Amino acid sequence: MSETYGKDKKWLVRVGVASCGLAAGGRHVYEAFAARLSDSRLNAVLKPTGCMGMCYNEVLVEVVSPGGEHVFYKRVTPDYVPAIIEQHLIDGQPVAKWMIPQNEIDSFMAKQKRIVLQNCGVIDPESIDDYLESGGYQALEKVLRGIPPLEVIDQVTRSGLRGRGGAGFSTGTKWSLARKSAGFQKFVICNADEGDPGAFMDRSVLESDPHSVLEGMVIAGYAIGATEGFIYCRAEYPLAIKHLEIALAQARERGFLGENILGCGFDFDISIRQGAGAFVCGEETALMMSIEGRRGMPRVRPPFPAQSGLWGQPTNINNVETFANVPWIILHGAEAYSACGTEKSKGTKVFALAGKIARSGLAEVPMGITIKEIVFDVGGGTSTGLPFKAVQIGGPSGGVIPASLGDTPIDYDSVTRTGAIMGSGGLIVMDESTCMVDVAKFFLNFTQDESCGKCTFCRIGTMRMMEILERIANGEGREGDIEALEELASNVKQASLCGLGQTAPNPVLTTLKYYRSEYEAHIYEKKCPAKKCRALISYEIIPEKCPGCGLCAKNCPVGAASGEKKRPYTIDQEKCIRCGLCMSVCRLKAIAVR
Amino acid sequence: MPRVSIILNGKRIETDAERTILEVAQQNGVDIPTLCHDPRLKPTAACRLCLVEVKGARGPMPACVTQVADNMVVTTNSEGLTKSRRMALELLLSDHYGDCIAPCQIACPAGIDIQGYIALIASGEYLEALKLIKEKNPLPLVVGRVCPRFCEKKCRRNVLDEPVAINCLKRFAADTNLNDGEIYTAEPKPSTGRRVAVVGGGPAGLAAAYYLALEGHEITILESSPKLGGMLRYGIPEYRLPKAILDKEIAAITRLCQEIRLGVSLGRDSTIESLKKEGFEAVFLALGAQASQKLGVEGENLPGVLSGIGFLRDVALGKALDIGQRVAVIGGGNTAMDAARTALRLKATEVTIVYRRSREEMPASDEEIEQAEEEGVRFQFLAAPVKANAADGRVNSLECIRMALGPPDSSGRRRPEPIAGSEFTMNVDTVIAAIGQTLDSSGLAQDNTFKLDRRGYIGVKETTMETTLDGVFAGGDCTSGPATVIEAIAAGRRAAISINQFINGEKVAPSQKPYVCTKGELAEIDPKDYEFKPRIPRGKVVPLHPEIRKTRFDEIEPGFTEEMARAETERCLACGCLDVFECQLRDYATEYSVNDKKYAGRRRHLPVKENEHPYIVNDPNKCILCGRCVRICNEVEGIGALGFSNRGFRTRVEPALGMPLGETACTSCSQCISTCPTGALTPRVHLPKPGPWQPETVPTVCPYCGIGCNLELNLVGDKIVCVTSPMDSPVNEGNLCKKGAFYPASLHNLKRLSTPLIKRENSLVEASWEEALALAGNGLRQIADRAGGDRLAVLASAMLTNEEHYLLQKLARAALGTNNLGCLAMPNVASLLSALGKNASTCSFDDIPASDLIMVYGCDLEEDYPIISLKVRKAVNRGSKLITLSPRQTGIDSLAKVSLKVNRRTGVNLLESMLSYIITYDLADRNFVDTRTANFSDFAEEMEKQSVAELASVPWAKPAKIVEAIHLLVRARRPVLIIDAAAITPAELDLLSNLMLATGNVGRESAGLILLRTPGNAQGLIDMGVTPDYLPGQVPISNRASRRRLSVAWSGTIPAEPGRDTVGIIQGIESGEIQGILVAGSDAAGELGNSIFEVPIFSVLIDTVAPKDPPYPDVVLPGATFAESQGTYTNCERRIQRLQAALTPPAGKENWQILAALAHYLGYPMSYPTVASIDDEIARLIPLYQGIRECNVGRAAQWLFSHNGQFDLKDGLARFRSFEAQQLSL
Repeated sequence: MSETYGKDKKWLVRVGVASCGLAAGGRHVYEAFAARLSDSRLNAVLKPTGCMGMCYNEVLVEVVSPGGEHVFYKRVTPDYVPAIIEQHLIDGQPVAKWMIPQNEIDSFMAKQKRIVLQNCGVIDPESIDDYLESGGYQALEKVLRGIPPLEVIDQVTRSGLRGRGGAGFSTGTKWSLARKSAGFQKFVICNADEGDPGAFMDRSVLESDPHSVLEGMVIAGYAIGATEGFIYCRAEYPLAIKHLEIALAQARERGFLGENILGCGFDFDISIRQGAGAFVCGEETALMMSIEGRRGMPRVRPPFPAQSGLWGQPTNINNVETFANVPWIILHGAEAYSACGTEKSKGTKVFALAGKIARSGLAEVPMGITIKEIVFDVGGGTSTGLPFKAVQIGGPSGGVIPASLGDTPIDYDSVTRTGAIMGSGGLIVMDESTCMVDVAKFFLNFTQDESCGKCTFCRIGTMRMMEILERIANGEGREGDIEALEELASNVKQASLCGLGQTAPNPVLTTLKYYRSEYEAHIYEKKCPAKKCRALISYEIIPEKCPGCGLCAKNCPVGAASGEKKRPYTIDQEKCIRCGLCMSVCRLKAIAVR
Repeated sequence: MPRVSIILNGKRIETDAERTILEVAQQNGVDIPTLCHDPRLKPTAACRLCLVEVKGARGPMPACVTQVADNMVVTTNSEGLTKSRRMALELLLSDHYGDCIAPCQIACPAGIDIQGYIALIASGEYLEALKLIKEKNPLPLVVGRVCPRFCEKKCRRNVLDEPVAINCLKRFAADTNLNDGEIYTAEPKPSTGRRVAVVGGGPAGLAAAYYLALEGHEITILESSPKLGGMLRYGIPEYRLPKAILDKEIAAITRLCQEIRLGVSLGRDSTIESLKKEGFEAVFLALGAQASQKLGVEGENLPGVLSGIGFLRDVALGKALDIGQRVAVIGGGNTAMDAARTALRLKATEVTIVYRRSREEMPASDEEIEQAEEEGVRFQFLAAPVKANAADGRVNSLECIRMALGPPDSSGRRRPEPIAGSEFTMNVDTVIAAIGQTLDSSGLAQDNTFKLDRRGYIGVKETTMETTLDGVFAGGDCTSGPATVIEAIAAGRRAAISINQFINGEKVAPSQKPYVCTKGELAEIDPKDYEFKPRIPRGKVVPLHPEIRKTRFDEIEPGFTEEMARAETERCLACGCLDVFECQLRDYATEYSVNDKKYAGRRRHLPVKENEHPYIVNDPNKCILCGRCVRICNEVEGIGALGFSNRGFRTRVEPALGMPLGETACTSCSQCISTCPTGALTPRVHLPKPGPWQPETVPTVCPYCGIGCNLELNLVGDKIVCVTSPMDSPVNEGNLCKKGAFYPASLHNLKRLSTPLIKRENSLVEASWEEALALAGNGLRQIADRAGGDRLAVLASAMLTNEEHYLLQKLARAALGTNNLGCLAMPNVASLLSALGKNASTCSFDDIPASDLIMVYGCDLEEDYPIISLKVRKAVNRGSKLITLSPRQTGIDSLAKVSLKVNRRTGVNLLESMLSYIITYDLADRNFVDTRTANFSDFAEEMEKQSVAELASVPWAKPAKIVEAIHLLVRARRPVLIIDAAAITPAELDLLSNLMLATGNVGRESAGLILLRTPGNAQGLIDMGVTPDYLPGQVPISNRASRRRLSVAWSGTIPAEPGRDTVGIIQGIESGEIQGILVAGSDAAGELGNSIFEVPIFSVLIDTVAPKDPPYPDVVLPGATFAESQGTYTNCERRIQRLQAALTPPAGKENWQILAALAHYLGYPMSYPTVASIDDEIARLIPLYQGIRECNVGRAAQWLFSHNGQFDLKDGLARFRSFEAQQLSL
């Protein structure tokens, strides 16, 4: 597409204004460019675009020269804009100091393969023309004009696509079940209730390339014989919803949605349902209850949604990323898709890289890539410089994979073998300063709070596990706590009603599996090896290093640090609340944690 | 239904497919625990208790939702499942804040249901209270006087002000019984002929004897003293426990025993061995601890140095004792107090208690110490005797030493240590050493196999009271050391249970202790919980003045008066859970032996919602979030007053936005209470105290509408405390509405009439039955004789039973010679008789849920017949279509496919046009109208005159909707039409029956017309012929053969002409044509108003309450309510169901007895010894009611509407009711 502009001998400026860009001030940068570019008689086009994946570099501005050379500017502020225009667009000299070095781009992109994200950060998400230009809705047309539904399902099945929402059920099989079920009306639901802390794949796709999801849904509707679709999206994603609404209106106008789509006699329409942010509504049965207007509480399966779903009718539910894969599969063929990935996990997976990683953002990698490759090659290693310790994969339902298992290939089965789950694609990187008890507590606190309250084990069991973790972190752990945790965890896992409860103990179980000694240190030695748990650490001043500048005392909120000027200071442990402020202000690293 | 075969716990079982594992297990007697399941609800699998193992499944499966499949292998009881269930229960209980039973009951060594008996006393059920006490304590007269009151120390009221005076209340119950005459003892079981020897007649022995005797065993008590009672008699002074009272209480127990041997000692007169040889299968040793402990000081064997217990015993035996003026009593226990105070009463002038610790450490009860002080006993604290000195061969002084308190010893009390050189001397005449007692084991020496424990007491297994010898049990002080009366009683009862097991050859084992959830000790209680409880001062009795009492042995404390007792009961906080006897959570917790502390952590603590609803108390602290209440309110009732709020651990069940339940759409149907597995939702009992009750249930039939729901009246004494319904009820399947659930208990609020009344000069005065009956009978007879039967009239309430209706019309026709029979509640009876041959519903309630179309005409089901509306809702959920036609918006309109608003006029119009449409477009069921009806062609011709265009003229209804309704009806295969007889005109009813006939939907399986009636036994009233124109069995009075047959059977002439109906009767009264009237009913005056007595004719009223204001009838006979009546009701689906009398009528006579007695005075003697004899006559004379005799409790008979496709009309064919005949009677 950039070539089009290149050929027209125009400059193209893309500004990232997805949530990540906006949060960094993308709107201001965009407006600064807009003001300048309309003023001047420059031969330049300005485009808002979605997330390019390098969220850590936002606001990210891409300048494409009429010659087709791409230059990326990182962390752009409105102040940079005049310089970029004058030096680069007018003088033809890219502003080197603000550019992202080519080797960084190369290493970030080298191991990626972009299928779902192919248009993200490239097209204007509010423009259906952009989407069409990049090959959008061709898959739909291909399907409607000549592929019978069963063959569509067959193609999806052969592609090996598995549900990207986490469980990894074969998408083709799911469609085929829904196709076979009898009902007077069938539904397609897109689960866009992405709720894992640290996960934002679906949001980015919806914000940056909404039509790809719609196209996937229409194809699914055609394949299973549904006439109505719902996108269940959390209300916390206003931009995604806005882009979806625009996309829906455009698609209807162009005849890709509604009655008699593309004149092929197929009717299908989609509406958006906004969720109020209950994590459990990402569970499919709870999600359907929520769409029906009831309190989202999971129910027992079977019957599966494919048999009895929304309002008792056969329903196919897939998540955003799954649907976004579909048009590509149809266009390029099942074989092209299954050529990528491992034996049982085909295609690519989008990961949201977060935590202590140098390059936080979105990356789409082929299945089978190892954890280390993602963390180091794509992600650039840890952001702190401390050694890489572990990743939490699969969100709060997933688990921790330690650095020692860094060569684990990312595919459904290998990840499951470690005790974690593939999940929807959250990948949180931890370095040596991370306390594993704290990690387990954090995730359990999240699931405990988000439990729907229906079944005993999830509602109370997770709370009791949390209390034990709190106790351990507070230095009140006692003999038998680990065993009690394990007993509770195994029962909560086995006896909970839905996926939320069944996976809630995973963070605890995996941290216990790989970092049992950390738990033991908390309980028996009353020590937090990562020096994270406040109750178990103390800040002390190393007299030899302390020049007595008084900066610590000045900053201490409770007056625990004191001393005479030019003599070593001391910290009163009784008063100290272990906020760590003194340590962060001390220029001479004279404060140590013990 | 297809069948499958599964393996359940290793056993192959054939069963229907499409059933859940839980259902199949229950049918096969396999118990799977569940807390969230109710057969009335869709399963939800929330509680996770019903998880079972299914071979091949990924993990455990919830049995309540998992359907069986062929060759499924299911295990319901593995070790893993037990662990998982236990954990689920432990988790639930870790967040369950409440007291299963009140702390007072937990504290009581005998475990008496204190809260229960206080509640009974509060309701005036004194005897019931005593019965409850005697389940655990056979000596309440004694214990009520001498108990140290462990209960009161734990009373939650301590947080607020002072504990409830529990023991005084116990004494009150026992004293009341004593004053009423013979002391109550429970009824013993039939004699077993097995013999048990009880050695020792103290409290432990007496308790064991009592409970063993109740089991039917033959008890022999052996006592070494001259009289029974042990320490009660020989240790407790007269002024605390009068011997006369003790004697009576003991006599009540010995009455149940076979033999009492007094003055016989173990060891001297018999041995355990000899007793066994004598034929005693078990021996209970209750020897007490009667040997005094020695002081261990020089001179203690001097004359004048006595033991406390020996001294008291001598006094009790009436021995003359010379104790002199100055008495020193050594010790700080109750025996020391007793001895000191007894010494005072024996005229000692200077009595000093010498105690080695300080007052705080004294083991005697505070009350005792205070009273001793008041009486002038002196105290020498921190002193101990070291030597008794003698003069003239008798003690004359006591050397003591001062003590100081050192560090605490093993008992937790500070150890006294002598202060060197602090000796001092007291001049005394007598020294009484009351420092403790121990077992005198000499009697056991003969049985050389017998071993004592380290402390010198008989060693027993504490839970069963077994000694090391087979068949020998022991309890009381001889095993525990000196303790309290109540502890001895508890031991005696425990031993009795064990001995009974032993004798019956069962394993001797303690009964499983039920799980008890508790809010914790007093210190853990948040005083805020009681902030709003009123402060009420503790009731205090005034003891005799110290100056008076110290001179005599009279009992010093009076008991509570009734007034004081009732006031004291108000102070009880009713801590224990009201659901304790039914709580499923508690049952499972017991079954799975849970440890509720295992997962102790954050726990909810929310305010109890006591006043947010007129009928429901909600304690959210006990909710386990099973969601049954939410679901029943939503799924069954369609109300949705309750829902879930919050998430995670803070999830709660509450109305939307936390609104008070009473302000929601709640209809007070009680369904949430009935389904709640714990005490989170309980009925708000309108009694002084809420219970808990362990009620007796009496099955009966609800009288408040014609549906005839099956009720269980829950009785405590003579009070209905709540109402439940059996799940297997064919009529209402355990569902109730507000009326059935809550009205019966409110019967107690009625100011009931308990004697007959007669009118004297414009006021009513009490009269005897004979007087009133004679006046009534003669009055009516004279009118009949003088002016003829047609000058008399009878009005009945439709709340009477079939038997009473039958007697009433028989009395009217045969005795009074009148057919003037009316009904209070149904002045205008629309009838299906001439169209269909019988005036009743043509199909059953069961046909509603199975129908494919329901048409509801002119009634608000949710409002007036809630249970029917549940059935409609169920039917709609199953796919049945609903048409509603009513004047107003009704609750079920939202479920309806077509909902039309019609009033009476437009209704007739609408129905006509529907019929017209059906005939015009030839939509009638040709086959049916040709073979089953007589006059279709005439009718069709008549209808054709009506223009279809009239459809459009019906106001407020779109023609398209009407046409849609018609087509729904014509197409339906199992349509049911529901009509409220009270709200329909004869014209409408005729049209509706025509409509159903034309569409062929009457008189065949699973379709038809349901005619609902408001009064409880309206159908019975019609069937029994309480009508001016029909005889019993709905036979026209014009039927000469029937008339003759009944005349013969009744030995009386039945007037041939139809009489006046209700309206006619009232007109007759006003015009003076009616000169005498008999009105019979329950709250009859309430139904019709007493205006009918305005015209001064001779009037007799049978009613449950007296008319409040004039005009008065001449005679009022006190009748019975449904809860006091035997007999049968017939519901609106012709189901004859039996009522059981739960209570006795206040005036002693049921209504049928009154009618029979009245007949006697009318000169028409009726001889019915029982209700069954009336039923026999009904069954003989009324063919429809042949089944009445088989209608026993829990079984009902439905009379058939039509036989073999024949309507009960002369040619067996139904009639279309002529349109012109009933043309707009409006």
